[in-house]
Amino acid sequence: MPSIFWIACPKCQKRFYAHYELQYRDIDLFCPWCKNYFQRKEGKIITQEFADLPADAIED
Amino acid sequence: MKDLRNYLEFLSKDHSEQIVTISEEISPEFEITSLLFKLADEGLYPALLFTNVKNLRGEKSGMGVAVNLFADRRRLALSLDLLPEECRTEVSRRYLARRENRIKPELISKKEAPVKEFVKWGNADLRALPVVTHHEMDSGPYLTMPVVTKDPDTGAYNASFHRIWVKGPRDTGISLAPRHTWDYYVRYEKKGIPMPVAVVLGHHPGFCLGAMASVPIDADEYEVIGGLLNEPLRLVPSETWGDDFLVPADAEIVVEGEVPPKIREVEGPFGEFTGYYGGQRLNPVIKVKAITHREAPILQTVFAGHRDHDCFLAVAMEGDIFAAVKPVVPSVKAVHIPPSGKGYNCYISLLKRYEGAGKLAATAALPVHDFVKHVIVVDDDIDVFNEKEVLFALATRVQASADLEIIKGIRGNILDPSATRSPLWDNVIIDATRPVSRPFETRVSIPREVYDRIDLTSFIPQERLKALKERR
Repeated sequence: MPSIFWIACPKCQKRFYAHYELQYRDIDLFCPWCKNYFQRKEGKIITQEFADLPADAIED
Repeated sequence: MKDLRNYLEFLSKDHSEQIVTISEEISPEFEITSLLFKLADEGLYPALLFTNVKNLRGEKSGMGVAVNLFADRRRLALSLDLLPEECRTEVSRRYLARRENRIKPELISKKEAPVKEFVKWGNADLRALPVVTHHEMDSGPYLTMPVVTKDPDTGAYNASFHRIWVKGPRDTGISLAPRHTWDYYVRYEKKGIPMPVAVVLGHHPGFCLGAMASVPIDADEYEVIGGLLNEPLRLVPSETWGDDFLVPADAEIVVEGEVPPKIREVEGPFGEFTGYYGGQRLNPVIKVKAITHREAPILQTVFAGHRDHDCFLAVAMEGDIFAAVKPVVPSVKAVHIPPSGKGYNCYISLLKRYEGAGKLAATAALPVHDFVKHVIVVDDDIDVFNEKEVLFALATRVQASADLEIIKGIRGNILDPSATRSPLWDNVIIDATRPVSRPFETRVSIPREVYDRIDLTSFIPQERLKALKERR
């Protein structure tokens, strides 16, 4: 089981990762790039094949 | 009396090759760490003292920043009153000896305590400090120095390293790994009261080495720190709790705060000792109550994930592991935690007298620190401080079917990026020692008499030798 999940910030679209325990919780995450708090469900979870792209790459 | 600035002055005066003082204005947001990265690219790891650093508001802070103090084992040797060349097994043996020789602290008055020269209470503001932002995906500026707490039941003091995210003037997040501080916090939480903490931002390296010591939970770590300093640690009543919580009197800066019960907020990511970012997770918080500091204080930070972190972890772990292995395998010679392994790899050399000694030594080493993941045991003809030698032993003295053991699903380090069942991981023992129960080949050699007689410069001119060395 992966220990992290990648997520894209809904405001700046850049990606970072969080511990897997946060993936299914109704909490606010913090984007380290734009310093924005957002609800977990507002952020797009990134599948692993795209996780290695630069943080600001936009996924089709 | 040992403190950070005495130590820096000692380096500047007597070992100037070990430290660089920089007076150009610099931002703590990535600029300090960019310099460190560039130096490391050149293979250079001096201690750096920045005297003109902006604070988190972008203003001149009037404070300095010291970093990379631990990035060279020779400096760690010096901090333990050894010669710089005594930086291999000597430094961890000295660490061990001082760790066992605990010295009770000494209480002094607020009037005498340098850390009380300036006191901010109520209007304490972390943004006045030049807190470093280390890596680009870090959630923000982080304090990376020891945190002191107090056992709610016994009153013993504990000092340990925890990353602290500076979120605002008096708000931080703190990462608590499940060790002693976490144990204290759980007990404070059960009582429904906040845990008092003091973050010590700058002291003599002996303070930090004491904070790294692996001692029983009921040990008073102010006494352990005194041992590492080789003198009583001077303490003074805190601003927030008075005599009920004593703080180091000679620290550069002390941030006093409380960790409230039952509150968890997201914290991270942060570039960790592993060389990877630890992901964002829910962690406790610190509400800052007071900040006290010396005149023109120097904020020390550890450059997480780099040699400043690697060497410092190594010296403490090597001493602890040697102490654990020695009673079990008395012929142990040396223990080394190489920087390349980020604390996860451990090399042990021993004089092998019987079969099974290698695995016995490894099983004694594994439980000492939750960082130790892989243990490679070698004979005493292999220099554990030379990784080419260790790899040579691995290549030529190991048959995996007999010499490799995997212990699956054991409690490990929560930051291992390869672990899929964190906090569980797999330990590996590799016995790379020669067998004693059957004949084994001998390493190649030259007759000593001929080797000693042949003078290199009689055959190859000095200038040619110099050119060869430069092109190496």
